[in-house]
Amino acid sequence: MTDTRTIHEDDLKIFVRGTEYFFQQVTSTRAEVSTPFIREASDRVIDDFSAVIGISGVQRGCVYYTAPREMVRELVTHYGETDPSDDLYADCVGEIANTISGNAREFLGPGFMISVPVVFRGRAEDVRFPQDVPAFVIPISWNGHRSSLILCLKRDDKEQPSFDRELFKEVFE
Amino acid sequence: MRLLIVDDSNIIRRSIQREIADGNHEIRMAGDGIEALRVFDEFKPDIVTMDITMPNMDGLSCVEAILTRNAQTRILVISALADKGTAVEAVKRGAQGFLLKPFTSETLATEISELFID
Amino acid sequence: MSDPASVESPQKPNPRDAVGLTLILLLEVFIFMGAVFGIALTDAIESKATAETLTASKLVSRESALVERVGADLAKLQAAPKKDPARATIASDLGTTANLFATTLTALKNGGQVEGPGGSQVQVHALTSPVAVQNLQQAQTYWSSLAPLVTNVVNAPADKGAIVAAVDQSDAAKSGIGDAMNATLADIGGPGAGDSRNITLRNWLFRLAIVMVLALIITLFRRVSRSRRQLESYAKSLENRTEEAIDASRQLAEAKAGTDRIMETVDRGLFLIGPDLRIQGQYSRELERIFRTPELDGYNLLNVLQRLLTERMFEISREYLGLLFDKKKKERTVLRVNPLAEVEVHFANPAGGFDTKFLNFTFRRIIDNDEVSRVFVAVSDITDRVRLERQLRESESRKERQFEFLLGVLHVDAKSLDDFLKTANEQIAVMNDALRASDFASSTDGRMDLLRKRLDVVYRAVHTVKGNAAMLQLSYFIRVCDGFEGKIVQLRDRRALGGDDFLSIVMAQAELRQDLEELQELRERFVGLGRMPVAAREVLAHKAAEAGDLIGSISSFASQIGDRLRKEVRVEAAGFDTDGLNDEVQRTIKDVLIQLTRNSLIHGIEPPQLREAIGKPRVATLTVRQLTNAPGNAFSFSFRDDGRGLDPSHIRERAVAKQIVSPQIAATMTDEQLVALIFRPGFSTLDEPTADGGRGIGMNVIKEAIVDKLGGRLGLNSEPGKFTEFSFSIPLERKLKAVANGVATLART
Repeated sequence: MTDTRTIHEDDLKIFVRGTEYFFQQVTSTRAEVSTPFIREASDRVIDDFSAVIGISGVQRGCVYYTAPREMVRELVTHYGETDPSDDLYADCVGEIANTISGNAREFLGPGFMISVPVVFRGRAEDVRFPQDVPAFVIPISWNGHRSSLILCLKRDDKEQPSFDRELFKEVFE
Repeated sequence: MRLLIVDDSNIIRRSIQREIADGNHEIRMAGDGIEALRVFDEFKPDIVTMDITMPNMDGLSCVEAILTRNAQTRILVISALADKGTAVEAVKRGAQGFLLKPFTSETLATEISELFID
Repeated sequence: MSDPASVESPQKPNPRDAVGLTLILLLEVFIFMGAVFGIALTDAIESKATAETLTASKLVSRESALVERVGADLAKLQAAPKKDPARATIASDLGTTANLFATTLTALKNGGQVEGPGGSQVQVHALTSPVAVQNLQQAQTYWSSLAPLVTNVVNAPADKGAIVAAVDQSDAAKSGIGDAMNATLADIGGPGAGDSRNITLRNWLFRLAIVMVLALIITLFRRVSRSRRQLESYAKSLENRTEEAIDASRQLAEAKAGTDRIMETVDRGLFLIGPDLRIQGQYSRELERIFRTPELDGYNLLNVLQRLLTERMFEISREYLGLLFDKKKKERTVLRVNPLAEVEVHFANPAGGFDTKFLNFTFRRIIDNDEVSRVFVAVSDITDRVRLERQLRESESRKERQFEFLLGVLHVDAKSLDDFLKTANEQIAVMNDALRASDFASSTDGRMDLLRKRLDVVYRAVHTVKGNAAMLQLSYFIRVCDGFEGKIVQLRDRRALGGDDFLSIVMAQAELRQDLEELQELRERFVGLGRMPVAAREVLAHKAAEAGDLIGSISSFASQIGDRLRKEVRVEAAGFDTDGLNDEVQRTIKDVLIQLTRNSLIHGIEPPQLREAIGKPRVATLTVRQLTNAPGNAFSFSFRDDGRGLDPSHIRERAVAKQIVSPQIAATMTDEQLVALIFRPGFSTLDEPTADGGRGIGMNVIKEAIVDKLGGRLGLNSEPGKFTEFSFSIPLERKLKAVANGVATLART
């Protein structure tokens, strides 16, 4: 049995700060990060556009970013888009997830390895979250919209170099 | 001036294009390292902006491959990976600049122009 | 302080000057020599002319004399006796004299050689001046008339007649020729009266020569004095140079002393490294302190870093140093990605463990001949600054947390907060007792059971706290308790429990305790708050909790859960009043109502659409009523929801599935008995645990609280599809009644 620990409050902090920084830099309005909670089975957290990034290394699991259509529509205007499509919305959400996760490496180090984002649409109710780690949901309000950054991560005391194939399959297949 | 934008995110590609386009530049794009090399051989750009996390071939390997083809190419690495080792690695592979996402249009403009200061 | 490098070199002799001077000198000498030569020449010409003039003058004078002699000779002849033997001699003389006169005259007229006064032949030039020519011609004319006569006489010295003729003629000729000769003589100017033109020239040349001499002297003098001056200036500048050299070296020494002072006292490590990464030359003293190594000369920087950095950081640093010396990489780009701008380093502490410090490295290239010959490095110890920053951030986050507490607590009145704290601390004590009694060794099945039971105790305690926190909307504590519960659940699911596993529980408990202490501290600081205005931290659309009002709290709580589950509910509790009851009882009633509300909303109440579909009002109703038919001195109340009600067959299924009873026994149980099963630990009709719902122990908690703790009774009534009602009776004086199961079932209506 692998000796795993749930992630620290510090890890959560890194992502919270990273999210605040992202919105501050890219948009002119600040994002409000509400207190995170642990997702329960009855919580419907997946929104219109979502992206998930696989994590391996010092921490393992995945990071989701999910947001409603109205919010993404406003967000893409900050990238200069005036006539965007659903594809672009999905792209945007993927880029947000990628940026926040990439920035986390400043504190978590290169051992925190991130994958290319996978995007999906629609409020899928059957999105599978890993069973063995708590999913920390970080609610992010911006311009009156509510989105979520969801962290399903566990720390490994012994850094495992290879990507957790089982976990990946569990989430994506 | 010919410019190649490499990033797997369409929204980023278009955003960079919008910041840079001024009628004087010819701009092409690619979505991963392999496509980037194909376009490079055809288009022969002077400047390349390169993301790191991409499918099929990562950005740093692509940087090396491009410089093998033409060592005069100016490459600006644009990435979300904020750890120190990545920046050092990028410069080691031959990039002339490193820009962290998220970036503002001012910093992008500055970085591009500074590619040419020796 | 003057720059030693700019010492004035003495005026080097300007080569052009020298050449000029020499040329002047040469010119002067030349002119002088020319003048002298000229003088000599003119003198020579002069003397030659003079000599010639003298000769000519002599000859001219002689002519006069000769003519006189001719006359005299003729006279002699005339006077001489006839047979004078001297006659022949005189005639011969006469002939010679006449001859001489003639040749001389010819020579004077045309130039030529003639016998001179000394007897030798002399050369004479023709006298060409007009006066001379005229006079000579005149003389010639006279002679021409005389000469033949003389010749006659010479030939016939005895011929008296010839002699007389000659004598006559000679007189005239004598004076005529004499005058002519005098005139010519005067014209010649005689010795001493030279050509005036020559004299002028000679004078000028003379003057010129003298001027040249003077000029020469002056030039030479100038030359000499210049040389001397040059020498002087050389000497002077040599002196100056020496002085300056002394000065410069003194300044250098001072500067070095200054640099040494700087290197000694500067508060950062300054040093140079070469391409081999070794420390070169002078470095500042502080560097030894920073690196905790004396004598750093020649040290390889990488070796120093290797002792201080993590492996990963060391690798990055090594690569980075490579980039610094690689001139193909632009300095600006390389400096931008400096990974050592703020780096954590670890020194081995001789007393054991590590000293952690933070250092800041900055780099600059030094270029020589287009190569990076060295890199200048500055290191600072920024530990204090970083620590301060972190402390600040920590205290900020502490403040934030406290602020969060405060905000999360603002909407709660002091009394409720006190109640919460009291209960929470009680529960902590419960947990502690359970844990303290735990046997932490891994164990046999029997022991495992015991451990699990203790885990349950802990779990229930946490659950209670969570419930109370939920009611007061203390989201922070809800979160913390949730996390805590999660840890317990994880543990519970394990097949084998070890001592290590309880560590996380203990840690979580400690954290919870600390949080409660902080809350306590905060509460004490706001002692005088009393009734506080409502300021819900999360946006909750429904009515605010009325401070101190139990039912109000339950109402908001119900709305909160209802919102979350998208169910619509209202609470009715007219006349329900717990004032007058002691604190413990009040708290218990609150706990119970919380659990019941939660359970109703989760299990009992249907979604609004469904309710409408089956003809129920969309908004469900929870009714809390005080019962007045309580036996004896007891407080009775009931809680009712108009939801699904309890379905005995469903309960039977669950009970069997959860292994609470065996299937056989379950088959034989009455409805009443089945319904009573919901109070068993482990029972739940929902598949997965939710934040709001219990993990199958909600009812159990209620039973324990009312019956076990307070010695009360509880009853249950239900109609499937219609309602569920719980009733309670709590004795106001605690009588420890040993009630077997404490369940009184009311007859079904």
